[in-house]
Amino acid sequence: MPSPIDSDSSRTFPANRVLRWGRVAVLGAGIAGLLYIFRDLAQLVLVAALLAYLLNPLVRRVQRRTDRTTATLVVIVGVLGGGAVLILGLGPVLQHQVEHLRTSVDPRDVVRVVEQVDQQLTGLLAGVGGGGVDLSGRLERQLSDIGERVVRGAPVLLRGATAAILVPFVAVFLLRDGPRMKRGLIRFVPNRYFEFSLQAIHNVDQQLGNYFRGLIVEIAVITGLSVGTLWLVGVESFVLLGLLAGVTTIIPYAGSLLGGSVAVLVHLSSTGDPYAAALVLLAFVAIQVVDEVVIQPLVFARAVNLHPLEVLLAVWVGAQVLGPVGMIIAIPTVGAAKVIVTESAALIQQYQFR
Amino acid sequence: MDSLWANIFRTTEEDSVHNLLRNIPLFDGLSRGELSGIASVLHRREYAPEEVLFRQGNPGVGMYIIREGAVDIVYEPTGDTLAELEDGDFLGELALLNESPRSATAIARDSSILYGLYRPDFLGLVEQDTDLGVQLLLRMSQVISKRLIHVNDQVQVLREQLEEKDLQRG
Repeated sequence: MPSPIDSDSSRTFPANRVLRWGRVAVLGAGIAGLLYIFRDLAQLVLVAALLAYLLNPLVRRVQRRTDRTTATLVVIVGVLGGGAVLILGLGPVLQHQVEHLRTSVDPRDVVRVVEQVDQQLTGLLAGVGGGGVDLSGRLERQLSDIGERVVRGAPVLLRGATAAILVPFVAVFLLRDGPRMKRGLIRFVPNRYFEFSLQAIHNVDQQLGNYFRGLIVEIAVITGLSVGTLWLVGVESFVLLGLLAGVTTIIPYAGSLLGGSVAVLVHLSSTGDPYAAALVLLAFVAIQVVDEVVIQPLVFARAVNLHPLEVLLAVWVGAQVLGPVGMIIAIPTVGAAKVIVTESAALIQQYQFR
Repeated sequence: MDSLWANIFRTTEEDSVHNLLRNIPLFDGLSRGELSGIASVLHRREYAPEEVLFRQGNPGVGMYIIREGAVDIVYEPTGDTLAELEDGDFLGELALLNESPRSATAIARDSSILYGLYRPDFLGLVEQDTDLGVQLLLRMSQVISKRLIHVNDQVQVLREQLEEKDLQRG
């Protein structure tokens, strides 16, 4: 027969649990609300935090010879200097290639090519009972909006300039004081979960670090391959289009192919030669295969394996919420979330929380 | 005037952590700068009486140094208290080297303040400062060798007792 204390505790236990989870939910909602209200600032801090996170291994390496503040400054100055040299070196080339693209590619040619693809797709979908895709209509609307977008883009440029100053500034502080901030946050973790939290943070940190560093290596290699290939096959704006193909490689399974399709369209409309365009397409199919078969297994030691359905959903939700930028950042976000969940779940099984 | 002298000669938190670390064989003889490096990665934790520091079987993640209070080391299957540790003692130091499960449960006997040194932070220090790393690993091997000698002595005593019993029976 249960004692009065037992029966009392069995009555209050679920109530306590509900209260505790209620408090966590309110706190979570509060944080989400604050992030939404200050979303511009939150975005800047997020970018700075990502930059700090990626540069942290470098700072630790430099820290072997000096203190953390100096190591942080050395790395940030080095990165900014490298970035400046890259911009100064590539800037004129990119500017020239953009100019060339503007003069050599008639948007109407691109629309015409897309119209043909549109007709083919619509015919194909009608055959299986689907509706039209209206690619050309969407593209024309996009092109007609360009002028208006340039005018509306002025505040965006100003915001970009502010970000260019603020992000490195915030990153310096996050890099210098990151370890201290982490220890400060861990002080709030209850003793029961202290060791688990330390281990979970460490494991997630290791996996996320590998993942993001792998992504950077992958982007760099694919960018190099794309620029080189486009130069070899005689595409004029090879740096610009190669960079685009490199960035879109973040999207698994078809990333560089998606980015490369822009190069195919541009080459087709500027030369009017379908065989030349087919050669570019073939080159990007080869790059995609090399990425999947050689580069990814090499750079992602313990890969964040995303199921094709997860990739599709993430890219679709990213595109709906933030447009093309959302498509690009959706995959790293989902990858990071998956690492956190997988590592925490694996570790929970090893611990007893009585 | 008294408060002025008290302020001049007061022990700061940093000093008291340094003094605590100097009494641990692992950190004995390190310079002030090296001790500051170690102090910068310590986690200060406060435990209520009967609160568990870690459980037997859970993965070992690091060592603890008792600043104030007392900790019991309990073997869970029998509930036997294997050791009673107090101010200045340390526990779980082998977890600084590998991830093997905790061999016993540690429970705070009184209200206690402890400093936790976590393995990746310790290994980070070793990697970051090679000279300090050599000193720390040398001291760690000294601690382990002393413990091995102690265990060997205990095994020897048990063996002699067993032989005596065999002789009495035989």
